[in-house]
Amino acid sequence: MEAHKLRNPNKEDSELLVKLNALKAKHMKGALVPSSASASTKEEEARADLISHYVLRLAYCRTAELRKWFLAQECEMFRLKFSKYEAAEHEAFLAVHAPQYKAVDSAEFESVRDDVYKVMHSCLESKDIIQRTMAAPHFYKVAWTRVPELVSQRRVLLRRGFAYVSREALAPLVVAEFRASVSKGLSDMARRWRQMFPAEEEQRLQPLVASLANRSLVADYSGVATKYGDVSAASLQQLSARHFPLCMGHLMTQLHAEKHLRHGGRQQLGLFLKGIGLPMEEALLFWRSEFAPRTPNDQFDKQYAYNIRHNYGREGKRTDYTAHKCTTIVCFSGGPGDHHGCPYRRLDETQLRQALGRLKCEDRKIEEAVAKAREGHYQLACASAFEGIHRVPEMDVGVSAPLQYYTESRRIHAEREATAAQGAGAAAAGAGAGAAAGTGPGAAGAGAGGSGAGDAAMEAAPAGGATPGAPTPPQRGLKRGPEGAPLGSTPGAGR
Amino acid sequence: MADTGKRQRVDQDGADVPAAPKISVQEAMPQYYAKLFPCQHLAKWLAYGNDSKHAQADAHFFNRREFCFTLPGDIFVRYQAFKDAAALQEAIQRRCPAKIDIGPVYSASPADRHKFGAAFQPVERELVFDIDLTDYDDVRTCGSGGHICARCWPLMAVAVKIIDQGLREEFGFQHILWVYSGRRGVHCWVCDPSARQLPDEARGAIANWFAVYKGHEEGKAKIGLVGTTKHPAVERAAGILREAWVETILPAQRLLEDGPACEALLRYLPDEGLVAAVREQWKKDSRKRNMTADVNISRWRSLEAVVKAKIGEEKKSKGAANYKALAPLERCLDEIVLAHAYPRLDMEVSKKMNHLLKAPFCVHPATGKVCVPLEPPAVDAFDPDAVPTVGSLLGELQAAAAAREAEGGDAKPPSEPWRETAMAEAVASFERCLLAGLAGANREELAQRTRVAVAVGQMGVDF
Ligand SMILES: [Zn+2]
Repeated sequence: MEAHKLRNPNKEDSELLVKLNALKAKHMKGALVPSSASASTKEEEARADLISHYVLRLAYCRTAELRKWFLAQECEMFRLKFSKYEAAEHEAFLAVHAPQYKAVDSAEFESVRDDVYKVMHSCLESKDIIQRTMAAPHFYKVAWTRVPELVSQRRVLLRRGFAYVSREALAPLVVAEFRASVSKGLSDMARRWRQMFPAEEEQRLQPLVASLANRSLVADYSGVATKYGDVSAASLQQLSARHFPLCMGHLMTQLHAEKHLRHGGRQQLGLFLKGIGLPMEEALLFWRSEFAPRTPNDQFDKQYAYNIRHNYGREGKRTDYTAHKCTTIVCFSGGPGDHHGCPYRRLDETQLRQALGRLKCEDRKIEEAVAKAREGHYQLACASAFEGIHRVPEMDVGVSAPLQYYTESRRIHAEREATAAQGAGAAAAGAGAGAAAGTGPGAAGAGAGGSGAGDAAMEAAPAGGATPGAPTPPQRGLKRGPEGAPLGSTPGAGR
Repeated sequence: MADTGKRQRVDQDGADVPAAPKISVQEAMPQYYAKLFPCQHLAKWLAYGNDSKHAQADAHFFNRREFCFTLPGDIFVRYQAFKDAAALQEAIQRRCPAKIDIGPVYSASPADRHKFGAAFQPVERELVFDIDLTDYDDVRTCGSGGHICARCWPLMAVAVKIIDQGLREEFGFQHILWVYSGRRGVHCWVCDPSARQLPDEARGAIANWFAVYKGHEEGKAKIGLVGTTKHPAVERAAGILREAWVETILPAQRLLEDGPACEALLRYLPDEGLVAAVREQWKKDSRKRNMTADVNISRWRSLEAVVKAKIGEEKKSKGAANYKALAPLERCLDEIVLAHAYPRLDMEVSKKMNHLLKAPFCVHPATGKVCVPLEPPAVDAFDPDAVPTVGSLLGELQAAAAAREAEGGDAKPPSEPWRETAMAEAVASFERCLLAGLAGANREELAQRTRVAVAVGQMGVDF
């Protein structure tokens, strides 16, 4: 086979490819074979590549952080490989992975040839590129909303809502598609790993897989877990019921019942809420409304608001405080009016059974948790409760921090939602509704965070349930402003 | 807008209109909203078929739309929401706003926004454009600020044509409503389902696509032309502009008669020698000038000829390959036209889903003019001074009542009193431009929801 140059002989890219190959060689036996290799070698390369990709997927599917890292590496690798693909390979790839990119046949191309030429000229493309592109035109037709950057810069031809995109300009779009598909694959694999692997396989593979992943990255839960953007004062009760560990759920319940929480509890819960991404204004709103009417507004401002702002680093030393981990919380011992600390340590067995029962934990797991708590294994007890509440066979990493519990819970929930949504989307497309299935540019980018589609589904959930009640009470939020002011102003409740 | 809020007398000088008591626009508004404002039509539009009995119709859809009332004294009341046309009509009549703005459809009713915190987000909104003659003050010679007249209307007319054609032919949109803003500009509402669902990023992309004019720099308009070939979209616009330039804009604005406008225009020529050559030619023309021809047009023709002769000369002496020297010369004629007449959009209005825009059929508080629909094919003939005003419409109502009285008083007024006034034609135009086409699009949108719902049902997922 004739040797061909990289279409984009960028030095940095070439170096990166070498680096990635080396990295891959370290993990796996297979490295990219030079493109001058024979057909059979190429095939072998592709096979090795595929296997390595899937083995790595397996290794990196298991936590959100690992997935994110893996996704970034694979996308970069893909981008470089895609730029070397030949025409037939492009067509084949697109037909399978991105059928929404329709190749423009030569008859149709003739009808737009002059305009395509003008577009390239108007963008001051070099004579070489124009000549090469026009000599062997490979254009694809996509909904214009998939190429907002090209539209924004007027670097594309538009006809009745469709953009005519050259193969060169297509690469970034296809990378986005690839990203979405790998991201979904990783989530699926993570779910299947947990659900389907028999115990003996688990024992055999688990150490290997864990060691692969641990070489590069260890998850750290001391920071914040703000990737779910739907956290607000209004959504806290619902989030608490579904996703909070008992230590935080218990505080939420006590706060709501007593309209008050003592300092230790306020700190433990407040820093956790900050950690899950509750904005400061929302935090003030939440505490204020929970403390009312027992604490009037002005008293709240004097006594408590300062401390909330302080926790957010807006007062005093302006330190950005982080949420407590289990090791800290377990050591908290308070008086009778205190509710903070670890409930698996502080609650008696009857209270613990009741609390877990309210969270709809499986009975078997409640007993397991109570037994472990009795033995003083509070974090293991918490993990048992997690398994019983979320109906998962085994929590692979144990519970080390409330934020981790929350993130795992959200992830599982998001994946389940995503599976449902994707299934729905696929079925809808089958019913002839393909055109509506994510033509927005957001659709491609949504996969970035490992379980992105699930995030979107989560965010949509409260909105969907937010169908308003019957007649609207008259709104009396009077505001004065200069003529034209409302045109520019963004809604107060939005960001 | 210095005179906003001032009470302007409604003009009642039409001789055929019976003498109505002279009242201010503000005083006339209760009657306007009670008898003339076509609230049902407005609500019909904004419901997008969700007011129907269709199984997938979302009865709460209309209620999630934000309205903003401007009450007398420039008091803004945002986040108004109404369950249906009747509730909207009731509130409008009760509060009698000087202006009604339409905002986005949110994830929940704007009235409940506090309950939802960050989950309260705009979810859909028409793609809108706002073009205002005040942005043309540096290139119009007939007036400035709130001024509008038949001489500067051609600038609006050409803007409507260019954007309308671009939205249809380049972006494939079909359901487009143009409205005279009541004073010195036009608004555009793109109502296709796909347009309503555009994220802000895509809205920004469309706005940039049309933003060939990018503001001013050192006394010249920034027109992003480079090289010698224009993008087909820009070429299409330039084609429309070149025609309008000599037919309407140049003679109406008298841009080439001696004066500052002419001096400013000549600055677009790439070198001083060329400017001198043009002036020389104009001097020669004036000696043998045909007095019946418009001086602006004859001067433009001479300017074109001088530039083209210069291009020919350069090509001959330096060769056509001397691209760098030729490009500014070849561009300068188009640059002049685009700089003076290319649509100047208020970009911010188009870029964000949650921008408010004045509703059609509002009455401009300063002029009393009604924001009536504009039909692009007839935009050249549109006369901004001839649009119905709240005063003229109330006069027509009285005349109709008087006519009935004269015939014995047996006939009853129509249930929608506006049908006896010029408002009837404005509403008919609204139906032609928008509602007629939307009916089919609405049905298709609901049918689409059915297909998705059926597909989800078949999944049998128990989450
Ligand atoms: Zn004028």
